[in-house]
Amino acid sequence: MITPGYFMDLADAVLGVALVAPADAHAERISLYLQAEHSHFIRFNHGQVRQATDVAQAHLSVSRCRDQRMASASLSLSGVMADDLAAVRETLRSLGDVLPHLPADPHLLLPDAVQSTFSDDLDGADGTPQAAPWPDAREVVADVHAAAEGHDVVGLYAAGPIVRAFADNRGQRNWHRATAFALDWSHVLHTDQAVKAMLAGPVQTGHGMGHGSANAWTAPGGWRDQLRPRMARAAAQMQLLARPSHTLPPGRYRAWLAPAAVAELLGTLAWGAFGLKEQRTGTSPFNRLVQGERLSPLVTLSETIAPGLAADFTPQGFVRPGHVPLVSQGRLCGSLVSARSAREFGSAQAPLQPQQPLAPNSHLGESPEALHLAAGSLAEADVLAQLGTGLYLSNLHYLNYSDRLACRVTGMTRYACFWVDQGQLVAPLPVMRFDQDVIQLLGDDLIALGDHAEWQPNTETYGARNLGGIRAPGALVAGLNLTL
Amino acid sequence: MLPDALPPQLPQRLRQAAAVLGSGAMFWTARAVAEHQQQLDLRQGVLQPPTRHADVGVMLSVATTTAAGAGMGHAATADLSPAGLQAAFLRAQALAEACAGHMVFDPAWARPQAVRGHYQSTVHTPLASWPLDEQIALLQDLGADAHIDARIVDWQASLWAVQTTQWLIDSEGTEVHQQWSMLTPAVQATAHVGGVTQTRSSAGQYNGFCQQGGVEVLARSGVRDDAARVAREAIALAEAPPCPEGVMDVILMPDQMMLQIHESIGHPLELDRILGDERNFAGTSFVTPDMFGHYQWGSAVLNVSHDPGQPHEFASFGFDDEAQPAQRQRIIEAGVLMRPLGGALSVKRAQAQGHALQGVATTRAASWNRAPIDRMSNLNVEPGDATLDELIGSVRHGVLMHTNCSWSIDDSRNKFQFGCEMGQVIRDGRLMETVRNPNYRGISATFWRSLARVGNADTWAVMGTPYCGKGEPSQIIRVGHAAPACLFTGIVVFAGAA
Repeated sequence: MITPGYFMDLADAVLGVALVAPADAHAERISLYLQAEHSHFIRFNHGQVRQATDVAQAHLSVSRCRDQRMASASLSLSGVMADDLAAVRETLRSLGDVLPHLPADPHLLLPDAVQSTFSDDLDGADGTPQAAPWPDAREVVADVHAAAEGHDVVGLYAAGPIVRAFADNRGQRNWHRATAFALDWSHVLHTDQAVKAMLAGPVQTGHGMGHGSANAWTAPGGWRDQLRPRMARAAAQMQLLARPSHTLPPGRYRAWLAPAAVAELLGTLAWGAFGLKEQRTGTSPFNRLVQGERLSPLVTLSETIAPGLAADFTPQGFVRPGHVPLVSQGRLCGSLVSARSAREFGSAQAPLQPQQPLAPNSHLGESPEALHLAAGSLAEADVLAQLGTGLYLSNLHYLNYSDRLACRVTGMTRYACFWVDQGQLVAPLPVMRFDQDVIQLLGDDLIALGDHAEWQPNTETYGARNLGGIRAPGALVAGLNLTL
Repeated sequence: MLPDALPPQLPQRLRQAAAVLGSGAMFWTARAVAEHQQQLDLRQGVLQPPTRHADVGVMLSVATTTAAGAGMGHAATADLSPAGLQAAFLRAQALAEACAGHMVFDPAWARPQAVRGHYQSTVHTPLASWPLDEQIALLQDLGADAHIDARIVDWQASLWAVQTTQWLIDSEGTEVHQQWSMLTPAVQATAHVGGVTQTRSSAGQYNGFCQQGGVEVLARSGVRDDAARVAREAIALAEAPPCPEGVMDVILMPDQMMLQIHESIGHPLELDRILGDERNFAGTSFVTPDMFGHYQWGSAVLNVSHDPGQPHEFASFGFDDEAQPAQRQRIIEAGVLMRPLGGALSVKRAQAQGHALQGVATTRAASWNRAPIDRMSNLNVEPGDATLDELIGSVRHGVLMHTNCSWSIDDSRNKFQFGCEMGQVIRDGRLMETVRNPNYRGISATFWRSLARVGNADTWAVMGTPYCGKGEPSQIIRVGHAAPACLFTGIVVFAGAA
């Protein structure tokens, strides 16, 4: 595993001690950005292990910038200093060969201020690890198998430290390491009828788990102690799914979207709705909001990274604010701005922030890492009564824009979804397709938001584990359009 | 010969390092991968900072026996030194021991047989010989061609070159060496006319034209001369009426057929889905193991093949990641379901459950940091006998659809809704006006039975996607799909928001 000391030593050796003055616009800029993890992945099917994998990976992106031209190259680090130093230096040399071939880049923007930051939940004050970065795999396998109690449990356990780090030749150093685990599973009754559940949090104690033990899995009241009742609850919920399903014709239905379903919807909006580039080029799903249309006054959205796991700096070395307002009481009030967009779209032309120069607050993709939909006032105990008759949707699945510029989204219901009649859960629903104008759904059709915003950690593991997630309450809506 | 980015002494080094496992190990396998990529993007005439990626590492798998039973573990490392490999072998063994007695399959079923072989993409002009200046100039030309007037409000061109080397080594004597070279060119334009914005691309906004080969892939793509056409069609779409709605005939061109094949044939036929591995993430399948050999999947004109030997196709290979030799197999024959997309281990799992089915060699991993699972590779619809004119001529009322831009399907891979960039109305056998936002929906289990006619080889195109996702932990993998134009009858068609 790449440690803070290893990264800082590598950075010092590569970048040298002769630092570039930040004010010198003509000086060559060199930066390093590290994405690393050492993960245990244990995949379960039928309560047994399908695959167990230990992955140690570290990818370093090296950027070289001169005369308003920049080129980048990433390489995998081995953790052997001599080998890594040689590889990084060769990468730097090859980037130097590329730069003369490039035209000047008018949208290139690099940080001015030097802002070093350090956040690490694994190392002790003396720099030594406080504990192993994972629970013992043998215990996890045995505990999951035992807690499943013979039920058909399928899912993924992922644990270990995740690192983001930045260094440049101006002397800026940023380090962020979060050590977390997530057990994301389904209790399956049959075919596609299942209950989805998750247990996620820090690997070590001292993060809400109580002090005195190094291992949050085995600590008294720790994750192991929580696992059995959580699995028992999921198994109990399966009993409702055993009832005959209630077949629905296509049509418009009153619905409660549980927090996980709302997070799925927001996760789709994250695909282009909040970025400045899409909003300025007219390709954003929120075009109508850009043009003045409003969501319900109940909707207040922000990118809020402070309480989450996400790092507070970008791969380019900009330190991000902890809170970026995006929608305030239904009105679009901000955007996620990458360094390129900050330069390209400039400050004076910005209708969203007309009096302020744009400051980068996001990575190049301008998608949120820690989207937060503020809670409303509907108590969980009142959800079924307020829903009355309609759909109780625990999860949504495979959402995509059916008309991106109209913010129209199609997708499926999934997992434990029920028909509710006069405030009573009556019967499970077969999976149904919806096709919905989301601005209308979160606008005129939004009746209430739940009074508790639940944290849904980002458990995607494409290429690497993720930091961040979505915090959202459930939503009671007047009409969801089922089509198939 | 492509440059080899893995140390030549690696096979010997792996065998020496494996000695650290001792007598407890039943067998081990190693899959070393070195991948080099270069991405060039030009947006609105501005070259974005070029990016290169060099990713090298190895996945080690160890099966072991303990008093608790057999177990199997995997460990991935980028440290290819003798000490690094030894440490990774021990981490894999530790996980194998942690899982012993709790595996969903018998690790002995995964024991490899000694295989030796080599595969290399067919390359006429190596990517490494293509000067950077020429690549940048090409993108600048494409950008200039795409910006035909002020109605084009955003435009992009890109080149994505990938070269991959892989070694498969194991305790039984396997040595398989494979090298791939791939190129993905793309151009797209967004037009705004009278309050309507539309995007058109050369082959899909998610890189539908992707092939193995060298610089010659450009010529096969036709992208050099395509930017102005893309821009003109973007403007035409912004000026076009919405797609008509109703039940009608649909002709899907190959750049939409690839998505239709992928989602509603490929994924439901992955054997690991059928065995339940994916139910917490990608989903299950409406297909059950007893369907193979007799289930009428589609009409009699439907023939689908797994064809890892198709020249230039994106997922061609000589051996899958279980070191099984590639072999072309009919998956669906005359509409009847023949075999699933399942590799050697999945087939043994299914057979252990009493299902006498055969699979295909198609177990693959996204890179060195993921263990292999059942994947689509090259999954193709074979050409029929109709010309495109004959397909169009046989439609009284319908829409011809080009180029996927939206896709959604349920977790059993049954109820789907797909959208395309461009539609053209067919009326009384003639191709008529362009329409925007064409969408259609259906159910996989019945959709393919509405396949009325299949286009001939002249309508057939080799497409693919770099972005097929599944697995826990998740994996993005490259897939090829070749298909002719196809006519479907009685399909529910509609537009987006008008």
